Amino acid sequence: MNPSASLLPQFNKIYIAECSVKSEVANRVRELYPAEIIQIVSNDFIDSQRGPMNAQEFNESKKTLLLTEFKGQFFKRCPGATQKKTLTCCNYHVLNLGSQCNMNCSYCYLQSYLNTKMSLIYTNIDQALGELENMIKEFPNHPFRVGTGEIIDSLSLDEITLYSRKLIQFFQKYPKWVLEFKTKSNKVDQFLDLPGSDNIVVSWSINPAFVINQEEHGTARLHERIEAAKKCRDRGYKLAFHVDPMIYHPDWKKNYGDLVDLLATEFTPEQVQIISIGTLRYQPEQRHMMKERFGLKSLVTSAEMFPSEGNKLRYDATLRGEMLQFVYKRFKNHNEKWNAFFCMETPETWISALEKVPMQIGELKEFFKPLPQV
Amino acid sequence: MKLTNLDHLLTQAENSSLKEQLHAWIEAKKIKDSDLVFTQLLQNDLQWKLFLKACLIIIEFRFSYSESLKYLELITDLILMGHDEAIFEYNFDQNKWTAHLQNLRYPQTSQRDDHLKNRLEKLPWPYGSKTKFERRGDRAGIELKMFITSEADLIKAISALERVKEQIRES
Repeated sequence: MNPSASLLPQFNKIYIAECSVKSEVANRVRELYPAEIIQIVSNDFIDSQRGPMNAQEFNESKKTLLLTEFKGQFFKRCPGATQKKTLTCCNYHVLNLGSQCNMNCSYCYLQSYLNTKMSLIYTNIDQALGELENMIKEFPNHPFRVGTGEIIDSLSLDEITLYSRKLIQFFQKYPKWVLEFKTKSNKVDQFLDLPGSDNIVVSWSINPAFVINQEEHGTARLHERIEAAKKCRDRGYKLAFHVDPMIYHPDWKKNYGDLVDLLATEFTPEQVQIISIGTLRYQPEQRHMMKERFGLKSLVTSAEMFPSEGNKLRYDATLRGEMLQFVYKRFKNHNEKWNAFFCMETPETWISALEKVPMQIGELKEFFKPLPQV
Repeated sequence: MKLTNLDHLLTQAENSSLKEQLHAWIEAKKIKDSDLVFTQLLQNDLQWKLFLKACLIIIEFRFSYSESLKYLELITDLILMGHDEAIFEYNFDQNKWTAHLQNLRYPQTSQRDDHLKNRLEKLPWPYGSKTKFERRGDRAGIELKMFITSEADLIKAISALERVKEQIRES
């Protein structure tokens, strides 16, 4: 099951905190990586790595890994849910099993979010599963959707952790709760010997090849993501695609139209649980780091962005509505059954694009129905 | 030791007559080092030359603190996007110059706004009302001001707005 060394995520240095030395992940790291780059450090080592990062430190944080235990609460609501007054949110919950990403998208929101100068993998997954188990006992019949790809890609480091295997086996005991892996990688082989089920969703953030090539550095190419999705489908896993963030460029209609056509040709609405659609957005404070790291020739840094509700920078509202509506209608033209919705958008945008809010759309009602607060 | 953003700006202006003016401007506007973080992106002499020229215009036009920083950042973007002397067209008039800078940095939005402005201004707004096209963040639209003194005024205004609504629907 060990991947070849050349295909492993590249790290210049791997630290293991004392509390994690005996963990399964640490054992696996010692199997996969040369001993020269591995160093054991004290449990408070992480404290010395906290603080705001400049562009260079952010780049280096992608190449340095720390295995440690997480001390807080693993299970949280999606950030969209904390802006309920301005955004229409789909009740997503997140389980953070690490932070930082070994890929390098120009628009990545982690550039304004992280404050630890290295990538982290939390080794106490059993504690996370215990937390989940308590939640499930409290709300066994509520259809909670739990994603692991919020501040770390769900699968790009999974060949190291093999957490997907534990999570799949755990969630299969609770079919009302839905687990979603969200990735831009094609790392799925490590769990495909486990059969899928309807409550395990493997999802891809997806963009036209042109945008992936320009802005999503170090990620799997479009055809690689599609191939990986087909493998998961063939093993009985449910799929989801996030056409998000849509990035404006002169040929956007052609390229996003072709992307929707490709997805609608390769997959059926029954195989794909959700299509979420969103346009480029980011916190204003991350613009300087983005420009420093990617220059002003990028489609993202040179984009025409304006302050919007919730303080994020977004495209002009009319253009945004046009882009969201275009992709939504393209799916619906293929088949009314495609379950598409807008991610982190204001009610005004829903109404301008679809003349409805999600609670007025039969197939989306369940996703957007308020759930108990955790 | 790494220079601060303010030191770096003053060092770049060292050999020009601008240094004193810049110093006075920094003092007067209480410019902080973190306000100029975007200047770290300027890489070469040509880029700095363009930036300092823009500073001079901004100082001479007496832009406010926030306007100064907003336009200096916008100009930095334009420099890094490859614009050069075109930045300084229309710099004889503050309003024309800032509109020109916005057009350069946001060309598609400016074009869409112009189109929308023309369309909205042609609509039959209530008699005596004042309209002003505005962009507020990610939304553009018309600010409408009316002075109503009686129920009859109100009925007329509502009926005019109904006509506006119909024309918007038809278009």
